[in-house]
Amino acid sequence: MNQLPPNWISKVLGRICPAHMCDEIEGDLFEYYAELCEKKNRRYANRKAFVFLILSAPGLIVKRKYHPPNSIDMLKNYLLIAIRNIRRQLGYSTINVVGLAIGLACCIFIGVYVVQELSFDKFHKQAEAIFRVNISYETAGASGKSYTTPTALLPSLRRDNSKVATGVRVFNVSMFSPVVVQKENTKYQEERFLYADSSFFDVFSFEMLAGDPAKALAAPRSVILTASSAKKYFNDEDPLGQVIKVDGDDYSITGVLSDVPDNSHMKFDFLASFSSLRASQRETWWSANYATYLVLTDPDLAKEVESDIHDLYVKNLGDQLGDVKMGFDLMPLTDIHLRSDIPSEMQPQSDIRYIYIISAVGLLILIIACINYMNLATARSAERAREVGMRKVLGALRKQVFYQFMGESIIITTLSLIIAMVMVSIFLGPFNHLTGKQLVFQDILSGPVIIGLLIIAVFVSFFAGAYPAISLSSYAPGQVLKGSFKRSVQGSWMRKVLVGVQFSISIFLIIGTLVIYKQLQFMRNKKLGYTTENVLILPTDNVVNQNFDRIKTQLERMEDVVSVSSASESPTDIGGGYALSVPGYVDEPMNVQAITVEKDFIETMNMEMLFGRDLTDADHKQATLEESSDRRFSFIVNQELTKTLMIAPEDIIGQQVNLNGRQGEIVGILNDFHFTSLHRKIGPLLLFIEPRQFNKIFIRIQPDDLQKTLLSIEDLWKQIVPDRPFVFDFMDDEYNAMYRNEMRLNQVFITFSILAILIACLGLFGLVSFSVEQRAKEIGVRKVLGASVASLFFLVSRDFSRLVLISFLVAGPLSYWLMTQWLNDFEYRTSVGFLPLVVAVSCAIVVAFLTVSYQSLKAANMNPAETLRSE
Amino acid sequence: MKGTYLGEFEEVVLLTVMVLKNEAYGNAVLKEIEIRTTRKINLSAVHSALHRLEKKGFLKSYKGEATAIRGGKRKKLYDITPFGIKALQDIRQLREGLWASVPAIILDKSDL
Repeated sequence: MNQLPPNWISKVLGRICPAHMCDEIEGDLFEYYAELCEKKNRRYANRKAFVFLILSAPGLIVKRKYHPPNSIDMLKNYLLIAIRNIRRQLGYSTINVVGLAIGLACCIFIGVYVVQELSFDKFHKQAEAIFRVNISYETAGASGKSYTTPTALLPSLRRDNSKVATGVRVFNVSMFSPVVVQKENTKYQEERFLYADSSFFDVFSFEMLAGDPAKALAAPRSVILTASSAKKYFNDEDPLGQVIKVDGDDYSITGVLSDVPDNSHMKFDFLASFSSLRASQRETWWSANYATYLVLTDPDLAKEVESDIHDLYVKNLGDQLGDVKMGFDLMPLTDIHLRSDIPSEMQPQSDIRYIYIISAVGLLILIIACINYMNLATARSAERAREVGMRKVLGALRKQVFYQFMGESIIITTLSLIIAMVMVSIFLGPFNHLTGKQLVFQDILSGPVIIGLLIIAVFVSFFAGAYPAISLSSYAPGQVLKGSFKRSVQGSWMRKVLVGVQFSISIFLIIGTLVIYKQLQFMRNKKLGYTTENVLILPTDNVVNQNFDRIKTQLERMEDVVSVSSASESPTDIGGGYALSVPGYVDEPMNVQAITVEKDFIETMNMEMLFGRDLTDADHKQATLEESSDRRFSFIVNQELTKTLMIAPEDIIGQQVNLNGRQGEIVGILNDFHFTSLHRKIGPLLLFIEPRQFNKIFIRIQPDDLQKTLLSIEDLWKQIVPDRPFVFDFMDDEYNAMYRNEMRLNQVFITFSILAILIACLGLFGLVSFSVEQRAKEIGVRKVLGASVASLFFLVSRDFSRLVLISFLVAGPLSYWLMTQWLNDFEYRTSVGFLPLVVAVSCAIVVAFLTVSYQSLKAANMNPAETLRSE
Repeated sequence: MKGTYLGEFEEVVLLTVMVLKNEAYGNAVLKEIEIRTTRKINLSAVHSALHRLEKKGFLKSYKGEATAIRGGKRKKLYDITPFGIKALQDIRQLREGLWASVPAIILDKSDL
């Protein structure tokens, strides 16, 4: 009796054994097994057979992968056919490759941008453990949020809190007014000047080029320069140990840092020791002007430290806080750039939502480009059908045909990727300009981007290639070769749907662009309550303030100067928070914003008084009396304040109030004006005179001869305050700078929606020219039977115009809804309206029509004899 | 020379194929080696050695007859190629040369 090995062993062997080796291996095993059974017993034989299986398996599996020699030739053939097809149909191939390349280039740009944005502050070694203390406050009237804390916070935490490993206080002096740095005779106004504790380098990992990081910020009046500021002042000299003047005081240079990386939320050119500040001498829980960064022993302790800080506050300020509710949160360092909700950051930061939006746009463009490939590949399927039929007759499996077409898609994608990289290197400059980044080509070759690119390439190859490959490999050879093959109705349906998707996306992008633009225009043209045009802003210091009267009288003598005034802040963005007591109306002091102004401020800004009187010289005298207890202040309030207090305008004039210890009465009511970004609602505001707080001079001019006016102002300035460089801003520029994010978003949207439409049209063009080619005979017959050019044109264009309309019906309402959501973010906003919708749909129709019409006209004007001659 | 190097086990297998003449297939080689060397070897080792030798060009193969005990599968019979014979001769020569050069102090040649 013939003994057979266990069934499963033969089964497994059959599975893994290459076909051409089956006879030998299986036969030998059967024989081997039978002999072993005879010699010993079945169990022994089973064991041996099992060992045989385990030992043979690796070798057999490896040999399975061994292709029969002709597959190399097949691959060569596939490649040849692919290249021939690309060359024969150069037009379609170019459309395919260029469309895909543009899409991929957009993706690369967006990818690099997103990676760069997400990398903010991650270069610090302890990035995960660093937190910044944010303060929020809330009272009956108002609420606010800030990243500034008082001087006492960090020292007391470091003394008593074991969860805080170390920390640093940073003071951004330019928050108030830019400083003037002087080295011998060179003098510049510097905006990026920070003060920091000597522990700065224990917290942050900025790269020190010269000097000792442990000691550089220890002594008062020491300052560290960045490489480029060192170059600016010292050229090639060694700056170490040299002395520069900062606002008139001597500071010695103790170190040089390499320039602050682009992806740091904190940017500076100078870093001076915190001990240089008078404020560093005493610990106080008032006047929160300093950013506090903490390094925690464990990032998970953040919540506990938050409540510790709250306890500290309650302990130290207790009853003085009154009705004010204080909140503290520790914001992770790496969240500051994208997730901060603090209205005025040290540097303008971005928003995670913009990252989402821009990523979505990138994805949409990629989808449009993929659809192009899918459409053109399947549309041309009829031409490849015979090839598929032939291959199948000669024994190709469906799988093999599938892989062939996938391979073609991989070739096209690779080609596009190479072209996309070339495009990226060419357009990097304009892209940097658009986004305000400083990227170089090396950034694109970084790890995450390359990996992302490969993933995208594989994804595109499969996404775009799978559908054509499946549909092409499904043809039945008999039918195809008989010649009775018709392009399936289903296929053309699918193509129409895909074109519809493309146009829906394009229409959405157009509507998005228009609505963002509309909102920007709305913000620019919104009646702010004052005029931003033709106002110069000049930062001041003590010397300038002492000479203010002289400057003002001399300036006002000039013929093109309309009016001159001064204030603590620019009206575009008033941040100063105060507590206001109004006896008889509210029990607890309420939180208000206030700005200290010179008496002509309201006139210079063209603000509108509603009630009462403007500030006068008498008010100025009263407010600047020698003895501070004698001082009386006159307040102008905005309309919102009267509404909040619910006092009639007539009653509020003459009302006694107290603003952080300043006693006085309300003398006038000002029409509301927007004193902060339009994202936020107008709150209660007071204006009063207090010259020691003045930081800025405002000069309203006639713009008739700007050049001359500016020159004569500069002459005067240099005469009176030679120590202060003449550096000014225009107020409208400053105002527009607040909406830089929105403007950038708008530009990005415009650029990418144009590209998206371009790619979609490229695809449409290919598709139409193909369909015209297919219908050449039909058109010829119609023409012979007397169809007019116009009716033929209509015939060809009809389908596509209908498609665009359907896309609009899908995309229109969706865009309307999405853009309304976006607009809801603004306290003062425009509506989506009908105009963007109408413009978008007409835009899409016109562009699609132009694309189609070239081919349609060509088809309609063809000589029918040409097309009907053969057959 | 890489690729034509002959391992010890391979040498044994090659010699056995020669010994078995027209009856050299996996199982027969295995049995022959087991009898002559009293080593315990698994069939898989023989197979892999045979395949390797064939790839190196020392063996050629042809299909043999099928038997019932093999489940109707045909044998794969191996035959040594002239190249294989030469390789064996080279090895033998090398060994004999070495034996000949061994000094008499270590080995009394009269014993051989």
